[in-house]
Amino acid sequence: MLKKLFTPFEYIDKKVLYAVAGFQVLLLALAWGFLVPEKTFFPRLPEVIHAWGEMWKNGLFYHLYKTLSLCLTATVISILFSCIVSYSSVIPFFRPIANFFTKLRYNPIQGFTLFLTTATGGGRNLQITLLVIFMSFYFITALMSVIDSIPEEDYYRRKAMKMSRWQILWKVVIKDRADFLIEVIRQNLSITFMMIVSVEAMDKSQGGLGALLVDTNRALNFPKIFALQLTILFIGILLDTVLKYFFSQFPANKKRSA
Amino acid sequence: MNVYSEHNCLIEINHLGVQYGDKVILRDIGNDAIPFRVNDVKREGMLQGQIVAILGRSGRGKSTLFRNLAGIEKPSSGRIIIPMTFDGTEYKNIAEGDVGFVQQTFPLSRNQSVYEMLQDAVAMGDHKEPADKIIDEYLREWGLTAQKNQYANQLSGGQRQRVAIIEQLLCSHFFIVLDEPFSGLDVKNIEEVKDAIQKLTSSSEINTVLFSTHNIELAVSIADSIYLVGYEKDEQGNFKEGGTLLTHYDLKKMGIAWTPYSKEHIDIAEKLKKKMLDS
Repeated sequence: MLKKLFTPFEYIDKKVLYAVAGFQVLLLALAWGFLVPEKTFFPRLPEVIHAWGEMWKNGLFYHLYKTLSLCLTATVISILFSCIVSYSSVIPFFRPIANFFTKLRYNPIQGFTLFLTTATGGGRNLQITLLVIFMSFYFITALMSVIDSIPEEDYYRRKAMKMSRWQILWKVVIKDRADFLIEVIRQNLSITFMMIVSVEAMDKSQGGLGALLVDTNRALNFPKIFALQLTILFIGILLDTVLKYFFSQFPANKKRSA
Repeated sequence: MNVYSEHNCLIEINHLGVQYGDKVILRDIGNDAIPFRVNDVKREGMLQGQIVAILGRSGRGKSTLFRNLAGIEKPSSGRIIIPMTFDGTEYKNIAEGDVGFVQQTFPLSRNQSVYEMLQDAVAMGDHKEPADKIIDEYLREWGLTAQKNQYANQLSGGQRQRVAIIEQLLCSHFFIVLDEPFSGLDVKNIEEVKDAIQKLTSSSEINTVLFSTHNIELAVSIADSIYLVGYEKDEQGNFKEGGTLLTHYDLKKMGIAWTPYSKEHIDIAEKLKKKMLDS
């Protein structure tokens, strides 16, 4: 078994893999708990846990709520917008517009922040607008890639069934590939999490984990910084797992029982 | 010898050509030398549909021809006609949705159960009876009752094939084209698809199945008419561009359609094989 674990392409039972992952996490925690010297910039595990407890008492939940609500609002708006742009790309007139949006992800947003601050009035609206714009470029790119990879045979099948072009758009592109939409959100949500800190830092009065992290950074409070980083990471992993679960519940992604 | 008679034309291809840009894919299919015409065959005391096999090496334009036969692609020249009424008085150019099209990969919906897919198909057809009743009847007839609530990824190759066929049938088609229905199937699945084709053509006189295959013996054993598509050679022995009809065997006229596989079938298979290798 041990040899198999270190041999490429060997099949390992899922339970064993979970045990291996658990062992690795334990090893990391032990190393962090016992091997990090006391007087160093790198915070020790007990210090991080203590810092997390302190922050929880001082309103971490509020910031958590603020971040998640911002993330949710921006994701919903962005997905709606991205769906409209991406699905309309099968209509020839709108194809160039959708293509143009995919290219915009190379454009740094920093140059537009002043304009957007003026346009949105700053605050929460600015944060949502920035996230929506950024996320949409990535969502549109990923969704268009899903649409482009639909085999022509799927369209032929529906055409042979006398379906209208609009019915085909609904049946083949939208309905039959709704699970891919969830997968696109899951794969691109990490970008939101990477951006959320910068976006929340733009207006700290709105609160959120990003604002908290910037303040903590300034104070050079390393245990708190680590505690916040880990909180953001765990929330990201949790959302990733939930979305993965929803994706797996679609019939096309369920494993064959026989 | 089986006694039969031929009646109205059901499908005819006239000088069909397909070209993508400068590239010629199909050339003059259905000309005076080798016409492509499927007539309504009648045999006394039984329902006899038509089974037409189209053979040819890979890359000779069979799939393109089938997309044209399904009305999904428009030819660059020529036309394919089918009857508007089955009394042989009025004909029209084939259009999208006139012919059921079962593709080589048997594409099905990813997230719909067999029942849901067939519901869609019933909705697109012209049925008077309730969808539930029609679907249950078809599923029973085609041995798929147990798969009613299963999804595409839970079906075997043969089951997928049958669902794909029923789906196209439910859209009220008399004509069905099957692009390489035997490719990638195991022995049992091949028998299932053979049975499906025979079932289809024995349920209505007008029902017509056109299928393509690389399996010459199989084509000879179930078809009543066989066309070979390939590249013609010029005087110098070079291949001409674009696939065309090279030969036609009418097994009905030869007296070996609907009969058990015999030496005559083997002879024809051999001739076809030689011709195919040279095309």
